[in-house]
Amino acid sequence: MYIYLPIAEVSMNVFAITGLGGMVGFLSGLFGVGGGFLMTPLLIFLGIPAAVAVSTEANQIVASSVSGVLAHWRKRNVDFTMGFILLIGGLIGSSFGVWLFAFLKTIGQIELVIRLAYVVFLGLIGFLMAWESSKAILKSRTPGASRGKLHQHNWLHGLPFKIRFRRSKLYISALLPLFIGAFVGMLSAIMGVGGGFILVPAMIYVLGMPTAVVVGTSLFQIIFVTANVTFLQSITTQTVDIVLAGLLMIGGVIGAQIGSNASSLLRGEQLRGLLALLVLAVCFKLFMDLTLTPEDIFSIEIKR
Amino acid sequence: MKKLIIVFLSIFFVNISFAKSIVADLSNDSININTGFNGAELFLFGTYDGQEGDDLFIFIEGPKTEATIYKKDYISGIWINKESVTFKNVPSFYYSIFSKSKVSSESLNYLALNNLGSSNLKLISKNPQKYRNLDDWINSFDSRMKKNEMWITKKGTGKNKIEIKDNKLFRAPVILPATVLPGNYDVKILHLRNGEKISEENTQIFVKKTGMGSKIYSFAHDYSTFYGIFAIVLAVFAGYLAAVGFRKV
Repeated sequence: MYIYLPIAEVSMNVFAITGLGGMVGFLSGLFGVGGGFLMTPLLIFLGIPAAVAVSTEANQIVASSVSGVLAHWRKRNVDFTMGFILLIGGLIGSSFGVWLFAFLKTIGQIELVIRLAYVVFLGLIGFLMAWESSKAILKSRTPGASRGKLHQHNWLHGLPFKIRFRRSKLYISALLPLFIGAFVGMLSAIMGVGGGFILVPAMIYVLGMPTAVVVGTSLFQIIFVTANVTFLQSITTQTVDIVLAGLLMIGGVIGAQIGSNASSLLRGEQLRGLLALLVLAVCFKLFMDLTLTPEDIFSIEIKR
Repeated sequence: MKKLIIVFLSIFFVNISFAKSIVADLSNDSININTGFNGAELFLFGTYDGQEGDDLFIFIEGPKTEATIYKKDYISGIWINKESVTFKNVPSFYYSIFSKSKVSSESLNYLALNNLGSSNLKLISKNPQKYRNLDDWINSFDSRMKKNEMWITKKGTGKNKIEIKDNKLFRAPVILPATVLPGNYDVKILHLRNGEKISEENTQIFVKKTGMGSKIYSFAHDYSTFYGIFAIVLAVFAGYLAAVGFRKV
């Protein structure tokens, strides 16, 4: 069954799209990752224009983050002070990102920049995940491994404008979360991701936040940043396809439920290793598309 | 009775003598790009008064738009779009049907003089003074439009091409790909003999966006602020629904 996507202006199989949403949703539920970093490149592989894939995925992440944050809110695992500062940075960064996106689109380089950004970040997280899971697998075989320190203060924490973050039990400079928020916000606009895969490690390792509040707080920030991206992309580039987003949401919701139920039944480390391989495979495909001699060095774009 | 027959016959012969003109019709002249749209196939058929050796041409020209051709270059390990040329008023779709696979030079001459056929289009670059090798760009553009099946030329008779019976009846399939632009598609049927025009007929195919999809498209473009807000509200609602709906499970 084919459906003509009104903004993407391509005809797509409904089951391919909801199936993709379900598959990525399943992985999200299983690992607690956002999934935007897999969804956007897979949509591009399916033949959705890269610009539409990015903006629409931002819209879908609003939905998945809302459903995710509610659970954390009930458990009071959201540091709102930290969330607001990350959010201010995120709004600045994502607004700049959308402007940059529109500029790159007019000069015909947006596909390249999206693909390059994905190669870099998928390569990075794929490698880190593979490394971590192989370490975890080894660790489970050698008992008695030592624990590291919870968190250390460094010079970044001592920058001016120090603020007390009660729920995170931190007293650090507000500039640091502001900057992290801005950087992730920019990535969010250009790559169509929530940015959790950068934000979560940054909050743990750079800010030193306790793990319990990290996911809830990052989801809180991601909702507003992706909503900002959705809004700005709608008014500047008109690339948000709500039909596509709706289909992805349906698949994503169902997949995420199955995934989170399955997570208690399956072994974590091996699966994390498999996810790492999947991420690296997507990265490799994008990398090869950029570096191998193209079938045709000419391409045509028709103004619609 | 005899008189009557003569009257009938005379009307018949008068009609024949004026029947040099083409009569043509489309199996469907209005195509709707709706939610289920995945391209369209229609037929153009009709009669003409031909002789052995005549040429019959059909040209279907889609809405004109701006088109850019990019050329990739290998720069520090990756392929990047480097140079580009933008052409103005390019038909987004051009379908040519030639009744013969080998067209006489006289007929080709006629087509060239009248800018008919995708290879006879006058492509005008947005800033022509910038390019010295514009002809190369035009050739590349022409071949890529053909490769992408936006410009299609079918020569000769047969299945999936034009079918002609007794030099009188013709029937040709027209395939519009899923990527066609909405707008008016000009259809020209041309009958040539030794490079001279015997007759021509013009008609149109109307391609328009209809249904939910077209409403969403115009909503997104005409009221983009509301569209953005709507998209967010929809996502928040969907997310809330999912969280509440699955909590009890």
